[in-house]
Amino acid sequence: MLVGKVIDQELKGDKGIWLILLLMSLVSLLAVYSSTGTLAFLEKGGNTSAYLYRHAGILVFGLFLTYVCHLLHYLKYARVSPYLILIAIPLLLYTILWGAEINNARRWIEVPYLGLTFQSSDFAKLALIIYMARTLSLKQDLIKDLKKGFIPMILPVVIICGLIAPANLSTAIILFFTCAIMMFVGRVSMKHLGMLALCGGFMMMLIIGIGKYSPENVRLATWSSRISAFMGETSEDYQITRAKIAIANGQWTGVGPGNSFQRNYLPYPYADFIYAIICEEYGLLGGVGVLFLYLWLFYRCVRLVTLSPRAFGALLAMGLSLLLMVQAFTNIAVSVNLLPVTGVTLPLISMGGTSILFISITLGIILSVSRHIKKEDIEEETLANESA
Amino acid sequence: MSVKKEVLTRLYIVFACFAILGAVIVWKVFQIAIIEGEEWRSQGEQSYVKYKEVEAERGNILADDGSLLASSLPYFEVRMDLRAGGLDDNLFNAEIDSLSWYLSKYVDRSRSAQSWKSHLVQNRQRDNRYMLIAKQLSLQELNRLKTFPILRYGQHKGGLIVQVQSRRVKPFKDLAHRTIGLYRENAPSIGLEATFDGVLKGEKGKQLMQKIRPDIWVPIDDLSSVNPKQGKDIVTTLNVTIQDIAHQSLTDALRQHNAAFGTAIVMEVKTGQIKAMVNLGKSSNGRFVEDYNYAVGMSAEPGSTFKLATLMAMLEDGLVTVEDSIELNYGRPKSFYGQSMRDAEPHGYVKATVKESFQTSSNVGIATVADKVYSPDKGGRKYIERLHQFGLNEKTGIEIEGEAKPYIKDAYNQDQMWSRTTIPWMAIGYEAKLTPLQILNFYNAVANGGELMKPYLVTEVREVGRTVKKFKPTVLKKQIAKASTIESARHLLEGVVDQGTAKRYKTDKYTFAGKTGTSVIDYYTSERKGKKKYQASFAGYFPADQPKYSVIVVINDPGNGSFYGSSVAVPVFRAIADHIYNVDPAFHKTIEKTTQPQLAVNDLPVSGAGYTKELEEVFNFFGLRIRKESDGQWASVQVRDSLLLLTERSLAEHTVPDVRGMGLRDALYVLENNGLDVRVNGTGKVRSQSVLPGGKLAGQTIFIELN
Repeated sequence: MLVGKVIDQELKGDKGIWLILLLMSLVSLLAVYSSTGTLAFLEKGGNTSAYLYRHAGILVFGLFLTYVCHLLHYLKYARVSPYLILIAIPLLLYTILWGAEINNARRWIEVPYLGLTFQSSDFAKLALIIYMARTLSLKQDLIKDLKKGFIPMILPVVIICGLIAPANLSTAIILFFTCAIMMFVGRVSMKHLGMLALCGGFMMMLIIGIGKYSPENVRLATWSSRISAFMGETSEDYQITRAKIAIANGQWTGVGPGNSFQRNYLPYPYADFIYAIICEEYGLLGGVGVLFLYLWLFYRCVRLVTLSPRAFGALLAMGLSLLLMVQAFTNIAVSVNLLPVTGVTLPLISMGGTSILFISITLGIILSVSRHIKKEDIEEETLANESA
Repeated sequence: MSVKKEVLTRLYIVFACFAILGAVIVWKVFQIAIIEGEEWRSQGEQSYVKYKEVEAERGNILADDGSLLASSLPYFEVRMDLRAGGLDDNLFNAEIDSLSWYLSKYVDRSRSAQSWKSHLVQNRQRDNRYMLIAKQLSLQELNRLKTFPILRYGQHKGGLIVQVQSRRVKPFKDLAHRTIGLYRENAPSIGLEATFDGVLKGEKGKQLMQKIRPDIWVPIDDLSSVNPKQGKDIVTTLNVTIQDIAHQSLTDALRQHNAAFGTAIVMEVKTGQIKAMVNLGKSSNGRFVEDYNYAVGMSAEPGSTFKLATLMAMLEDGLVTVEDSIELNYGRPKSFYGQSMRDAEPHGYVKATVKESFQTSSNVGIATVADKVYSPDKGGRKYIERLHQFGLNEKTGIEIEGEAKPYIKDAYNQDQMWSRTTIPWMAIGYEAKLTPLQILNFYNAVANGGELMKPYLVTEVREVGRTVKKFKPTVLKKQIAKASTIESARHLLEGVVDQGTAKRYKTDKYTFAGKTGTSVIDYYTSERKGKKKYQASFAGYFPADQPKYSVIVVINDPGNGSFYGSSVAVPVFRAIADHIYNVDPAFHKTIEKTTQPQLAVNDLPVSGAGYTKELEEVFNFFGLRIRKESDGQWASVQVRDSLLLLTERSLAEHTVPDVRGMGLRDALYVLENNGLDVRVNGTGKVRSQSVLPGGKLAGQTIFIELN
């Protein structure tokens, strides 16, 4: 078949990941279309297809971006990663001080002349994960050494997460956690990981301390109210109740595409609570299906590591997919009330402009890895060779 | 442990963790969706959805020419959600002072900025999410309020809640206020607003609303939703100009005579359409306002205007002729069965015909004849029968609630206190009660050649400008009396104006006919107190030969000495009739040729001076007769009898021309052509010029005054 041939020629890398990506895009399209009803009513006079077309456009552009990124050899990303970190830090600083405020949080940077806004943390996450993968791969031989291995590795993590945290605590925690898992897989000693946990706790306290003196830069009040709501100290959050009603409405097989009722009550049903909407429209089966897609994606990446455990590529794919996994599971856990409300979107599915593009790049890099990585036995691939 | 093995082991642990987490999530979804499902679902159904009644816009009430008599305007109530999601302490504290200042300056001045502030702060502490800021704001006021601090951030951040309501307005204010009526929600509606409520109110809609955030309800599409249907408009017979004239002249008369209240009704003879219905009563502050529908609701002893019915009954029965002679004895008191009666207005008749007694409104005369004709042989039965025949015992059926039923005693009914004095007193308009409208309707039938029409106020129902229902004139009785009786009645009424009590108000412009009435009201109480209270009235129609409008004017308790119907009520009739005569083209057939426009004035126009050709053109266009006595370029105009005389306006060369009487264009042309520098003041025609005509021309400045 011709189409099959073209796909075979053009789409390099793991076909399974491509398939997951396409399925996710489809789910995203359906769920976003269903859940933007309220938004369309509030902002576009009820024209729901306006959001559909915009979102579809972004998804297509995202796929194109993924395609472009997967054509580049992943080692190229490794080479630029220290510079990316060096760009990310001032960007984050700039955001904290002069970034655009949306929904009471200063997380956004406006690109001059383009009118685009993006979250600087999206960029920083990507940069940090690539850098982590590179460092873990480079320092495999010194990995158990505190001064030569551990300290240089966690310094960028602490700096970047510390800069993200004031405006976007959940993203910072997710990123920090992702890096911790990467280190765990990358053979960092358990003792050091324990120190890392302590370090994280210390950072939290520091941020809370700063928040007390400078409430404008730290969203302390929002956090504490969300946490107390989750702990059941105050009455259950309105949005959580609505999310549960949505999930309950779905029962086993859902109320059907486009028939969601709770989308009209849930705040940000197209982003934070999209999983509840999916459960309402497609039922428990739909919810399980989405979970399965994420686990499958992760499994494909895990498989890459089994091919070449010590290689930079494998660690990179694993780290990037971990980032998606942690974020996805956090979002879902919020929807089913396993975690307090965070405001983290569901990667690959939620609506959102530039953050989808960063996720597309992420997947492009994963696909690039899957395309180029070879079995360890055939080609001993290390970064040392490459950078020499 | 090899590197590879260590990495893979740790990786599998991570993967397993995710798989376990996935399983926990699936369990949790299962728990919410299936185990606790019922509970959550019922919670979802309970609230957050409700039907909201959607008020329909009330229809308009229109005058005969389509002008708005009553309409609905939107106004706004503004409340504030002091716990709106985005209204945090920072914002509140930063802008509360300036908001309070604005509120104290523009919304409620009686409250200081400080008091507004503490009010707002208290309500915020009390978590008031629905605090009243202002009621009844116009759109402009609302738009200004939307620029105030805090509120300018809108609903989510500023807590602004705006609710639309609508207010009934009457562009013509008090004009026909009681007839148009009032639409009230917490009290019975009145007038046309009440009668036609079913048409005007439209249909309330039903809309399923979903709550998307606290206080935001979004309509959702649902088959059970019903859109509100806008109320229909009604077109009335009321004519704004006639109503206005009647209102003004009645007000003047009431004020002049220091009366208690009064009413005036104008009706179109052929159709029964009410062109004007004025009801004025003295309010507590001494001003006359539309306070009660006396025309329809006030039933009273009609007095002398009822004599027409008595005479017509006798004429119909062939028991008298208008030329029969009656002993009047100067109208001195005469006893009927021990009760004394005398004439209200003094006169010099010793003996008079029936016609003369009617014209002078002699109580004694009319009562004597009636007593003679109807008292023997239970003749009262015939009398009452005739009154019924004239339709005087029936309501007119006007579309206004509260019309009183006429009170006409049944013949010889003891329960109604029928006695021997009933016939003579009823004959002159006592012992019976009718409303002004009912009397008018009877006179209208006489004017209409005996055809009794139903008076009506509404001609059309319109839906979005399209006529959906038309109301045609209704005939109540084809012929209330023989043609000869009607003819005699009309002669009698013409006689009142020609030689009788209304003689003073005769005019050359048009003919009118009618009957004055002066009745004593609160007979027993006012008699006892020594100061009688009167009700003056005049019912009639015009023009007398081909009646077009019938009018009744009733003025209650005129206090300033004069109380006769003739001097109190007839001037109001005249003011109304004069006006209609002036504006209604139908009265000016004589000068109406082909399709020329009519001059709506009585006096010939006097244009002082102007360009001869143009003057001729204008006068010819209006069909005015002119005589030209010069061939000059400029002419002066003078009125001579019924024609206009054009004489030469000579503008001698090299002297200042005479531009007095000219319009501005002509004056400027003439003056500037003579090299003068013209300064103008005022509008209209030139009244004076600063340099007198005949002066030497030297390019000087000339001031002309126009008015």
